Amino acid sequence: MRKVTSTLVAAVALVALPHLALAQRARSAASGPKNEIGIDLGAAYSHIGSGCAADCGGFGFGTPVDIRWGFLSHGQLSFEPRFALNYSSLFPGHELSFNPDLNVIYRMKKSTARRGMYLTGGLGLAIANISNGGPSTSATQLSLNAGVGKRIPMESNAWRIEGFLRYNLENSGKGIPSRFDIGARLGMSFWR
Amino acid sequence: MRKLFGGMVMAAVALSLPATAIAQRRAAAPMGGAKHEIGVDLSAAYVSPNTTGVDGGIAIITPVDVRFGIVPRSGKIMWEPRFSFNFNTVGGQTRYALTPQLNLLYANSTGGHRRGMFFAGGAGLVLADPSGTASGTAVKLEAGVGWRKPYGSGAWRYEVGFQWVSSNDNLAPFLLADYIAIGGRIGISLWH
Repeated sequence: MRKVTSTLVAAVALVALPHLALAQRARSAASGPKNEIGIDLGAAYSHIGSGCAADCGGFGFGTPVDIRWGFLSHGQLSFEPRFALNYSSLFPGHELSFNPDLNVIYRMKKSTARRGMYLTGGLGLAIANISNGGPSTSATQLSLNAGVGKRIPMESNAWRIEGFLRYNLENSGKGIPSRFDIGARLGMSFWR
Repeated sequence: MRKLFGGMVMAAVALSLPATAIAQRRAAAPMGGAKHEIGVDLSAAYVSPNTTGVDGGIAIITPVDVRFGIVPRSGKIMWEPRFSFNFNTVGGQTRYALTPQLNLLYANSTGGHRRGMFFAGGAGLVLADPSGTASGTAVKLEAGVGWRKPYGSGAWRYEVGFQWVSSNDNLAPFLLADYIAIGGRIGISLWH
């Protein structure tokens, strides 16, 4: 009888072990994703400010806008770098356009990192460097942006829609006027 | 004693049920699997334009375009539409560039469309009005070989190959047509 009892206890323990291990893995998976990666379609109305006399407004849209690479956090604040790069050394010279940006994302009360509304604000640079064979010319423009968005879960990913305002400061030294954009971006977010 | 045995058997069954269910779900996941492979890339290539007086050079771009692969339930062949789109009317002139493309991927490894080596080939169009005054269309053909390397729930994707774009007088000055490019793409793929 003792043998039967101990065999049964051992069987119960064996059956329970994988379940406990799976539970542990599930818990570690829940804290799993580190990054939110996304791409968007963007549309905006732009208005050129300083130094513009005629045809100062316009509309543009396109995809992919830039690459979003967010870092998830346990708190309500998280950081999201965004960037786009275009470089070509063709012709006698070259052209470089690099637009890095760092946004802070604040989740609203009932939201999580995967769903719900959020507020965002960020600081970016628009760096351009052009050469036509001679000395190169560089220009940098500082940009500020703010927006409100929402993540809508779709299977293991999420749709993300965001309305934004962006202001590019004037660079008077290089003759680049200020610019104001108001628009929206719609894209998809993935976690890994 | 019979009560004790009965209780232990019930406990064993109760403990084993969730583990069995999870095991079934894990088995079904790769079978049902993802329907789409979505990704963005950084591209670096040596570009040789056919335009007289223009030398070849390096071009680096990110994000290049949006990949939206349609993952088959079985088989080694996968279709992958790609596109980029940019449209703006800023400054009183309308400029746009639309580059739809369809690639075919042949999985050359046991990892299927999730990991390992693949061959790719495709054709596309460049529909653009880069100057705001004259539009044009060019045909694009490309072929290459690539690898997917799992990374979290996604995968890094490396690809090397070449691309040929037919001539068009309105697009060539903007490097949208009439060139051969040899290079590679590095990007991230995510499934949903």
